[in-house]
Amino acid sequence: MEIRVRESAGAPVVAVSGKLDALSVGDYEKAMNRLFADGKARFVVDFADLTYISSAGLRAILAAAKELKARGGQAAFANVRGNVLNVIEMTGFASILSLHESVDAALKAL
Amino acid sequence: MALEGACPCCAPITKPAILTSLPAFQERLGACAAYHGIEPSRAEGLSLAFEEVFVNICRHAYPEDAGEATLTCQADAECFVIEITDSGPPFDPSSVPEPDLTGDLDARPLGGLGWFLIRRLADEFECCRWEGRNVVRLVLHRHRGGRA
Repeated sequence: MEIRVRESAGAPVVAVSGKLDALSVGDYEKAMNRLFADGKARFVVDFADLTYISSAGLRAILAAAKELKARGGQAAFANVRGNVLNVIEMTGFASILSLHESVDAALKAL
Repeated sequence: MALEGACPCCAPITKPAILTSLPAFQERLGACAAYHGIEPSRAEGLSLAFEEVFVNICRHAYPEDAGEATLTCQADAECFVIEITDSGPPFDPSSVPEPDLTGDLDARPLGGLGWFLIRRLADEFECCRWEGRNVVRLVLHRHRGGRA
């Protein structure tokens, strides 16, 4: 899994590619913690190149979402599709995450 | 309950029950599924179900010592079947409660989705104890929607 963070329209955009599974989830958590340490509480997570997510990844997403809410912030998710979208819908996460069809739409939602 | 007639490319693979073994198992599962003509999207779902079973083994099967897990694949005209076995203490997944998927962000607990995903991503799911080993059997029906 790779994580690249860039700034766009004044907010971080975190592009996650590859597989978010029990092996790679630690890197995702580190990226989230770095954003929190930098005082970032509103950002976009771009799943355009994410091909796989397991319950370990869902756990990390939920933990970050709870932390963001506690900080008065939020994350907006962009380009969630394919099997990743299937898993997110199957587990009821579609109703607790802010999902958008593009990074631009996600940035506007922040 | 050993699988019989496993195809030549699907010899059992045994690895340490540690997370770094996950890619090797999933690579074998993917290769076997592709060999047997399983649609990639469905094979990926089964691979995810495998991760959930395997991570459970890594976390709970061998609390005192290192242990191993074994993956066996088999296919016929009707099904693609994988079995994951470990020699940890008896485990009954029916003891794991179904998660509540309707709660809002505050109400959703962290974790608890592994066995739910396993049951949703396989067409059939069986768990039993055989000769001192836990056996999890996951089945994909080639003709979708056909539950035995």
